Amino acid sequence: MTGWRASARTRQLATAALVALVAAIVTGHAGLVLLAAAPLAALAVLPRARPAELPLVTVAVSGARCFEGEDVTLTATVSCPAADKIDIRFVPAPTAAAAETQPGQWRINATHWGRYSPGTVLVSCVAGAWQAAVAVEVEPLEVFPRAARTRPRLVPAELLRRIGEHTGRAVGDGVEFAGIRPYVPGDQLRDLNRAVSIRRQGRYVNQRAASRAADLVVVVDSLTETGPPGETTLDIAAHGAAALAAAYLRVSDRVGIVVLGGVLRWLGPAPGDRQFYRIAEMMLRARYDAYVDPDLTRIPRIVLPPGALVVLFSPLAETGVLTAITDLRERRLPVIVVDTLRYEPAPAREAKHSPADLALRVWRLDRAATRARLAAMGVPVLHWGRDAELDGVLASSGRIAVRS
Amino acid sequence: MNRARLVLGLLAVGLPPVLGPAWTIAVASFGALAVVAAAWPWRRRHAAVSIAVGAAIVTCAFSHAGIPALAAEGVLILAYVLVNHAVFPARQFIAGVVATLVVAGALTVHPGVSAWLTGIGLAAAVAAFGVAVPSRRR
Repeated sequence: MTGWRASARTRQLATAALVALVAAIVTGHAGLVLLAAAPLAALAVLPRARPAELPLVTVAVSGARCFEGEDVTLTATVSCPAADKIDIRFVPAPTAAAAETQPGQWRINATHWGRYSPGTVLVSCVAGAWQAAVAVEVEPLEVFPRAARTRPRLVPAELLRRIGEHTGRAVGDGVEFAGIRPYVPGDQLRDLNRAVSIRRQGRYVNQRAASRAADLVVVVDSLTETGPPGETTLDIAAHGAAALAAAYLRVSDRVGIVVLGGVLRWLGPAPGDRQFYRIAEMMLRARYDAYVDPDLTRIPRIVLPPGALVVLFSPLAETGVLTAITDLRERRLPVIVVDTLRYEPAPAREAKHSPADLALRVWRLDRAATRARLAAMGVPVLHWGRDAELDGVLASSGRIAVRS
Repeated sequence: MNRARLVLGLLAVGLPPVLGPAWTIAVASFGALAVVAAAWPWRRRHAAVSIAVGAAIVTCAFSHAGIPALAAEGVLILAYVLVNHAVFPARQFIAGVVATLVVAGALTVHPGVSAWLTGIGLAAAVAAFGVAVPSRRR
């Protein structure tokens, strides 16, 4: 915020008068005083009293939280009784887009997830010979990552003894066909399989698979963030985590989250829509810089219930992540790694056997070795390509990948 | 309003070279560029206006314009400065025209230059600038 100072019009008139007077004196041409007379007279009739108070700017946003791609409305009101002219502008942050719907009101589109101020409101008031400029930074907006439509495809082999919507191996009261067996007294007549009963000259009934719930723990590796803006490894991980959490919570499963990076943060598995927002809030904190080396082998037991499916989003760039995966496997948890690295370092433009080219090849070999080591541990690594949907990526894994 | 700015600005910087030496056309061209720049809504628009006005005055200083021409140029410069703001202040424009007529009349009656007048004029210029521009301390 700046105080009251001479307005642009005042400064222009004064400059014109000064230049004309100096020119008249330097050249000895008295007629040039005529050029100064008009600006000086205009200055003399300008109201010269400085306003007592600075402009009061009030900024209101329709909501403090939204999802990526959603709109919020920002309204700015200015109170400055002495002002002749008030000019209000909004300068959006690089991660937001704004369109003015009416004077003093803008529709802001949050184009990127995170916790950030959507922009700054700039107010300029002119009162007589004075002008004041006020810049108000809008309160930070919490933009949750957009959850892409995904189906809960990954199901651990051993499901919990809790009613859910996944087809379990055990026989139960679900809807999926599991087999046939001879009729025993107490069986319901609607389960009678007529075709088999006639063919085998006996009474046979259908068996159905039990519907069970699953526990999912999403692990996000925020130790490394690389890639172009909007498509960094952390952006991809956040979108993946949001999509999986939404998909599993929709079918009454329990979902938890662990953020590897800085201080280890976690949220135990829980069901319901509320859990989604708690997970989204935790994702917002994943981006903060931290200078703490987390102990990745100390993920609390309460976060990882027995039989929980663990999906880790990671660029596999830190050795600490491999330690965490090893720890998870030692706890006999089924783990799937989704590789979030979409852009590898640019290939060297120099000769083929230059040190840069050699370094890139060694780096590729190292990543291949990491993948092989994970495969040997029974951890599939799925690559989430640029044009691929998460649903399609996970479809390639299915049930075979999640043995414990 | 943009068209009025452009026309007034080009008139203000374009008239003095007609009565001046050929080299003043270069200064006037520079002023014309500043006028065009000031017609666009960008951050340094107000500085461009000042530059255009300065170029017009410098061109006048080296021209052979008489009192009527300088009076007309003074009014043009004032109109150009005032039209560059959202609301045209008619009161200031009328005050400027009246002052120009008064000074033109005085110069017609007693034109002349002396060392005393130079000193007094210099002091008046500095005093006028100091009085006209409001200071932050006040």
